[in-house]
Amino acid sequence: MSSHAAVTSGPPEAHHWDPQTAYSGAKLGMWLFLATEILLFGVLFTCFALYRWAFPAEFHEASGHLKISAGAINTAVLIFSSYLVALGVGAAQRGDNEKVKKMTLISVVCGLLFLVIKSYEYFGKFSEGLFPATHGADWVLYFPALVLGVFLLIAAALTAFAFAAFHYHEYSKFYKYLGGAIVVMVLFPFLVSPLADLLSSIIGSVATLPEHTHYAWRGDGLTQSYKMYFGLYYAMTGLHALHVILGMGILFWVYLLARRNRFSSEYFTPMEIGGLYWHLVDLIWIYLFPLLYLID
Amino acid sequence: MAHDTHDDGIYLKILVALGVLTVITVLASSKAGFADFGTWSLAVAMIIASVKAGLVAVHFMHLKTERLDTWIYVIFPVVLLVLMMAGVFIDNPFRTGTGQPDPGVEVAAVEKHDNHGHH
Repeated sequence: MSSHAAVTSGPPEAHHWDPQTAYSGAKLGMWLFLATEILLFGVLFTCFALYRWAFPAEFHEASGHLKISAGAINTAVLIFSSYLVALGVGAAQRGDNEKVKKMTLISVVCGLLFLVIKSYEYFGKFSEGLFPATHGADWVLYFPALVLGVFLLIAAALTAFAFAAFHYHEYSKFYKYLGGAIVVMVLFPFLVSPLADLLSSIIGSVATLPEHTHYAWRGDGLTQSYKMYFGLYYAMTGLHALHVILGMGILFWVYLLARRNRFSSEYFTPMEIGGLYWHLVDLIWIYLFPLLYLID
Repeated sequence: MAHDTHDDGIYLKILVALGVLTVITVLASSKAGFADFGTWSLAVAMIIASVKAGLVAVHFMHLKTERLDTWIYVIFPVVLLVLMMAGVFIDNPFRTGTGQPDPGVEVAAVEKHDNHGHH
């Protein structure tokens, strides 16, 4: 960063006052956050693939309950809004606040439309009796997912530390955290089964577990694994819907900034990093749609 | 502040490309029935999704004009994810003893066998 040389006096944090540094810092921060989001959804994808492998017939039948048309329309809605947001970023860079207002507002409406279609789908499934989990026994099936989540948090934290160290040019720390993250990711497949068993035996010693005290990827035939599909379906699409809601909030904030004519060729950071977040929401759905709706 | 003015025309092309790829991925799935890739349908769908994701990241998210450090931020989690998935998918077929049924073995048969073992 050449701008570092520009600020040579003042307190150590003085270089943060430089607008170019603030801009690239904010953008890198958003990319760092998006990196952790990729890992978060990536673990859910892996989890889904594992259970699909274990119960091909049941997952085939369960995924038949989803309407491809609803998923396809939602894909189109998100892709279109992503396009609008990309135009909005360009407009903000030119200081065209009017266009930013238009693009962000229509994108928020697109997000709303997505949620309406999604809730229509959810309520359709509810009326068929397909809930995330219906019987007390089902939550035992979630132990491996719980272990997965803990591993993810550790790996995500190590990744964040590695990024931070890299950003501050502390390369020995960077390698340490990077190595740690890789070790965690490599070890975890071999630990997830024993740890899930350990968890169920610990909980089993203080509470009465249902018949299948082994966490058991096997379930008891069709019905359990059927619910596993919908458990994962609700977890993945629900988490994604939360991201849509958050993204709508961010875009509406950008809209309010544009209403106050805040954007110019000198300052457009909120539109750009808000746009990055919205694109990620689109990107995750690009993978969710074929995985949940199309593959059997 | 020096920055690139992004061309709005390319965004429209990307939008059209994303739309076309969405139609292709629906038609190429075994459920739509136009083309059935059988066991490869997962791979086909994931490759198309990755092309779409790449278009969004490179053009809509401006990775095209980003510096190397931003690219590292993007590639690093993807590499971690590939490592993790590779580990899981290599390990998974050998898990028959700890609850995972053999591919091709009836779930019910594994259940029965285990129940006998416990009683």
